[in-house]
Amino acid sequence: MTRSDNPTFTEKQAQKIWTDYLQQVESLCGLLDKRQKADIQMELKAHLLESYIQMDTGDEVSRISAAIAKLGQPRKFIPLWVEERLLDGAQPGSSTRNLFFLLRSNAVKGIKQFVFSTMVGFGYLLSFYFFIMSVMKIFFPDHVGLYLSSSGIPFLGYVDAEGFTELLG
Amino acid sequence: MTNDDLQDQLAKWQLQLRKGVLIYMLLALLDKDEMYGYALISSLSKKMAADMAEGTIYPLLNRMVRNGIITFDWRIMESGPARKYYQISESGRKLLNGMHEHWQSVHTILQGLKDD
Repeated sequence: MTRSDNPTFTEKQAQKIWTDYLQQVESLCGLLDKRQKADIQMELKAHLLESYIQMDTGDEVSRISAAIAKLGQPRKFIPLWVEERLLDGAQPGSSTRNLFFLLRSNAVKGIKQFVFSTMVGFGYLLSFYFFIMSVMKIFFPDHVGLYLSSSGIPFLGYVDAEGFTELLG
Repeated sequence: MTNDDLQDQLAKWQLQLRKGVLIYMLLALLDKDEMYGYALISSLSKKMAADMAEGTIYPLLNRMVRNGIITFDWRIMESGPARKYYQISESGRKLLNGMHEHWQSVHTILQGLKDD
């Protein structure tokens, strides 16, 4: 491997790992301006190369893979770094585009958390429902289950009326 | 509570503590000498005796720069890529002193509780 800003590896696979990693970094830095992007990329390149050089045993692939594993996958820390860089510019007179990105980023985070907590809540509700049904099944074995009404609408729960066919038996 | 539960709780507490003192430790390291990213993060890992995703420190360093407690400058190296050197600022040193004092007072309180 040559030690420069853009090193070349002798092993093709190592070169591919290096290039793929930096491409991921670049795509995650998408909203930053050229100077900010270059700043992040230069710092990460310097870090990875130093880490690579410190690992003096193993082939190029294992060394660059280990250096990347220590640094972490880009999606784990680049978005936060990008937000920090955008906040650097979020001072009076900063661009509307940056502020819009920050607002959008926070909104997306909020929506994701809302969807996740709703799903977890629904899961708990469903578990509770099945628990109640399993208890009721002990006392009313002929009235608890999955039924189909005469109009073709499925129903899961307690049924004590005519016109329902139990589906699971 | 089983031994595993205790270990689990201890690990969680240690993680929270590490997060809480991260800025303090970074300032303390930079107070000794200026450092570039890799050297700073390696020293931090060694001092904390813990594996950490090294990349997660960079956004924090960025925030510390924005808050004015550290500064940086890029330096061209004879061989290899340029390095970004971080230095503690005057405000950072004041903050570090405040943190030292507070840490000492917490230590004293804990020592007092232990001796009671």
